[in-house]
Amino acid sequence: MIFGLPTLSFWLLLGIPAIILLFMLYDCWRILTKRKD
Amino acid sequence: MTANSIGAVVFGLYLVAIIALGLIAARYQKTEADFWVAGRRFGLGVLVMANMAAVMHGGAILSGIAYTGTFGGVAILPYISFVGGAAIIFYLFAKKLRQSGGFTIPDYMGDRFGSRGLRAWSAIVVAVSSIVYLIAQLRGMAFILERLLEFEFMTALILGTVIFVAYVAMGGLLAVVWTNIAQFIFMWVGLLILVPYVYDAVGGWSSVLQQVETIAPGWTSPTGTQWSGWYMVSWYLIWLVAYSTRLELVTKMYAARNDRIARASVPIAIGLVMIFLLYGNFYLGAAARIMVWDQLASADQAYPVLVTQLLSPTLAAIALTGIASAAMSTTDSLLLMSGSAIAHDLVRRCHDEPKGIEREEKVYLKISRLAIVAVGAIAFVCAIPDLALILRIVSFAIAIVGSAFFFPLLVGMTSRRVSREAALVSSIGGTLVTCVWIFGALTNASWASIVHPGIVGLAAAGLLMLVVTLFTLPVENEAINKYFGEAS
Repeated sequence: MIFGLPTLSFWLLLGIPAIILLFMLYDCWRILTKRKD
Repeated sequence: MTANSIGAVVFGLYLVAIIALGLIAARYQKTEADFWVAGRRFGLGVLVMANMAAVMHGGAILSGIAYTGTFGGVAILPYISFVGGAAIIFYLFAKKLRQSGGFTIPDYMGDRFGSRGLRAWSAIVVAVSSIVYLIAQLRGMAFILERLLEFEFMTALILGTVIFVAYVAMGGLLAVVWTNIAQFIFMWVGLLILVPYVYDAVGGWSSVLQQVETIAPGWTSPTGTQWSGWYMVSWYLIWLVAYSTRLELVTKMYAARNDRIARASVPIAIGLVMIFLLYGNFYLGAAARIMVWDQLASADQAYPVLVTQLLSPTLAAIALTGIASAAMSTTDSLLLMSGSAIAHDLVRRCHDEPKGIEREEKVYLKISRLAIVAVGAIAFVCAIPDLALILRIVSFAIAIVGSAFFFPLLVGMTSRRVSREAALVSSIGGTLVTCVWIFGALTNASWASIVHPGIVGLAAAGLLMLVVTLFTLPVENEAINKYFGEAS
């Protein structure tokens, strides 16, 4: 058990998409606040 | 009052509410743009909800819990594909689609590549794939009403089809989005009622995962309980393409108030879908595997059995009605898309405009509504017999749409170099190869079982796009300036 999830591969399954999503949400915030076109 | 009569009353109220929404939305319909893209008035909140409803619906929750319970968490967690598909729409498609001012994907295909033939081909692919999918969805919806609320199958089919056709034909996209939001909220009421009861029975996240891994070894691994590594990769790839070309999602970009809102709505919606799926499919799928799996005749019964076992009859009726109502939310989008492919793309853009025929907007509005009624009638008649073949074809529908549109969208949005001929040959060739492979899979040919038809079709479409582009000239500036600005 690693921080509540059973395996490292499971962390990657959730973690990698979560990081990409956070990056997109950051860009999304910049678009909405007109810091990025 | 029994649980079934409570369910029927709640469902009856819900039907009255969506017809009322259709009537109110009808008052906003003056032009074709009002009907197909809701006058491009959607703000961020509405568009996020509409995008979420396009991805998730009651049928997806039922089959998601069944699928996750059977194959493991990986089955409903192609998260990398969700995020990858959303990133493609967010970074490459959304802004240009909204700025192009079209209504539909065939509009993009026709405008970007300056080809009426490609527009007509795309409209046929959208109309046929949506109608086939619609037939399966209507049957699925009738089954859900039959199983959850004990309606007669035929009564449920007639009731569902008439209500859909009525509110979609009256209110167009506006009615679809309003009702989808209502369905979506109702679905989540149905799911969230369960939270304290499931938590009491199986505990929190870590406890559930530990228990399910003991019962079904491999459940929490990246390849699940039964899959090979290669199958997982092809599954993820198919879903990546399916999400980046998901017509219900991509066409909603046209309805945004501006291109910033179109873009921003995508990652927010997908992020919320992912969070909700962790509970609605993943946690509940694991809980069902632990609690009720040995009592099920088929995996599809996981949610109804879980609900009836944990909740009081009244709460169970509300939970089941919520899911049954939300089973409708994809069907109306499909009806709208196949209607728009016929009325807007084929009649107006491919027939009337090239011949110089001018009709008033109210005439096109009438044609649009007639197309919705006609598509509804065709789908209803085809949904009556138990055509197992249609259900099998539907399981490959995402492969057909993906091979027809993925490369023309991806390459057309990123490169000026691609030619009209390349887009045409890639789209038609990729689709035909996919169809041949699907035919092989349906007739159980050994060569067709090696790999999913979508992978073969995509490979063919990509290769044809590359080879034909090398030997042909790019599309003229007039057509591509709309997507890339003036050439410097």
